[in-house]
Amino acid sequence: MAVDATQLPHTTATHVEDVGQIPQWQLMVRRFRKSKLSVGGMYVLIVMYVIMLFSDFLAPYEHNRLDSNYAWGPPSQIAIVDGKLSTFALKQTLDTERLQWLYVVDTDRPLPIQFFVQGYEYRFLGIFPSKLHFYGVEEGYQVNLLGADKDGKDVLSRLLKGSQISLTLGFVGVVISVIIGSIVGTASGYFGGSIDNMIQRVIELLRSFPDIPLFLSLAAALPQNAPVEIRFFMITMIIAVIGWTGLAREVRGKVMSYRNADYTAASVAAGGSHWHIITRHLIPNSLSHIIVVGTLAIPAAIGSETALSFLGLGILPPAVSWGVMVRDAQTIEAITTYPWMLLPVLVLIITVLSFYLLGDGIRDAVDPYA
Amino acid sequence: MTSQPTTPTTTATDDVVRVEDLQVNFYTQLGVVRALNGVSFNIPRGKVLGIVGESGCGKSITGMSIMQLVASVGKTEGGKILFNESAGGNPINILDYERNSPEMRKIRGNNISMIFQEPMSSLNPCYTISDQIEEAIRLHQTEDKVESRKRAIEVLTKVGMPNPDRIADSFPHELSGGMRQRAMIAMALSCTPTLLIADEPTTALDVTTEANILDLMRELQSEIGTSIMFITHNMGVVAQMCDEVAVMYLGRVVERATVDDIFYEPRHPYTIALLQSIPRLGRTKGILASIEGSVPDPYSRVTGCPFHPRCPVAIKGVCDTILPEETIVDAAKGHTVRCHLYS
Repeated sequence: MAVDATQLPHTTATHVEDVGQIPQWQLMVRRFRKSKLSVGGMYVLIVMYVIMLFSDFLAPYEHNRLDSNYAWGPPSQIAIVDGKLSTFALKQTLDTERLQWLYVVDTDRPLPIQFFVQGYEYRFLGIFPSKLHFYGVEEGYQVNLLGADKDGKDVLSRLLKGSQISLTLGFVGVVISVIIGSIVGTASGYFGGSIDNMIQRVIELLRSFPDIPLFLSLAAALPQNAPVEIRFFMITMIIAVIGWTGLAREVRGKVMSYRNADYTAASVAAGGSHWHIITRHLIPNSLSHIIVVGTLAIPAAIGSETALSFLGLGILPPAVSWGVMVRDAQTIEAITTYPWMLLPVLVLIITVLSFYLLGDGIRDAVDPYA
Repeated sequence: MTSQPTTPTTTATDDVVRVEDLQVNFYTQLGVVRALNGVSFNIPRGKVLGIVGESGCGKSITGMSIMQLVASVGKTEGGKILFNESAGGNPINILDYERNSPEMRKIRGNNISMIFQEPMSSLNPCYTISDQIEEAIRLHQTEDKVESRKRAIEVLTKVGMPNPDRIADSFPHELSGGMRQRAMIAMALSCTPTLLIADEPTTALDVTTEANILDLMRELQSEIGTSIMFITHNMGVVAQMCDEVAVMYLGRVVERATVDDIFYEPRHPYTIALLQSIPRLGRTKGILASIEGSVPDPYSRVTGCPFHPRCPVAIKGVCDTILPEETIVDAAKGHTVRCHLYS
């Protein structure tokens, strides 16, 4: 078909272009999928959180059940005996020279692992009371797949129980600090002037405190005998109160640039209310940024909880978090003789790394055209 | 300010907007910037008026003043902007309304709308094209969602969007620069305004797209009958788009004529200099003419004719002391000029 030059400007009117075929979220998903590490991180985290939900079901014992017969007990050996998956009873002897418990596997006494057994009582998802556990052995013996600590507490059970605090505390803390940070940052950027000035000085003041001493003094002020739930909530608030400042600054910067955009100016000229302008123009535009900053803040918050608990100022025994477990592993004895005590460190590293990888992926994905 | 319409002096021609002696000053920390020093011009109904001039001569401020969108540091200190919605109607002085009064908001977007230079920063990336067009329709015309959606598609079709149904549900980033500007034009035309102010609408586009958009605007203009105030610094665009031209220099209209007169019989030395400084295809010899000097510092005031320091034909003792009045060169064609050479 010959092209008639005089009709050029209007040919586009009848010509169908492939524009707007893919919605933005699909582009984001595509971009996210490209980064294999981030996808891996996401799956690791999904698995971790699912395990966390079922932690009581998966844990064979209560996290603070003592059994001196298994003090510093090594990870149980697993074998198939008579066609049944079994572990073995342990013979405990004292090495009088080095003052250590020695354990000998008694292969004559196999303990078949039973599935879906009755055990201690817990509330599934905090609501449904249940006694069902995934596995266990004969009453009077213990199976410690990942070994036991100095009081014979099952490390796997503690890891599972600890995940309930460690995985949620960081998350909840970041959600709270994101909420505070977005509100304050939006107000600061939107209203500007003296309000902005005041908020920024407060943020600078908060940021100028050194982190660790601030954490310590806030945590030291917590009542020592408060119930676990209250303590959990207060530590979450400490993490949130310290974490929101950075986000507030970033949100402020974003809001300031969107505030000067023509569409915001048009909304102002058309008589839009502050609320309308903030919720329709400023927040939706800043949202992707807020999500990214939030995701990247979660590992830092998890680290903060661990650090506090490690220093004995966060979650306190008998409650258990990964930080508490790392604290148990800080002796040279644990590192040299009972290496399974270091497992919480490994789990922490995997969690934090997965969050960072996921955050990186999301950061790249929210701007699929970059 | 009272919102009482002023009765204007009877005008022979039917003008959509008649700006009389408009003065806008900006009070900044560095001093007072006199952005507009008595701008007067008229936009005849159904015509395209081009406003040309260098950067900083007050073109955009003039447009913004008509919309009452000048930033709050800018104060309108005198003059009238008479807006006449329909032929033979009673003109109203826009400046009688507060900038954020409901009356002004009714005019803005509904009777007078504006297209800006940068379509990307004017469209909110978070909402679809139809969302944003419908917002204007719902604000001014109808509350009905189905009806406003229908009108949005209609207006997108009118601006020559391929596949308007799908474009309506696209986000701004999914469109090319030219399509975004079409979307902006669609938005501006969605309420069939009496006057459309286009502030350098094609500056951010490449020449092919520019030609498309200009053709489209011209076509829509003759179809809908909207008057257009076209702000640009590009004389080529003026030649293609406009019926009449007002040349601005330092916050004043220095020459006002039909587009033919501006190109074939320019009178003001500034207009002549502007036309000489356009590079022409095929001309290889010689140096391109330029206007000596630069625009004076906006904080200072130039005595006499503001152009005299750069004027090649300035008359000593006259041009540097007395401000030239607007003189009529050709009454029949409405050719006026502010220059001592013709008074």
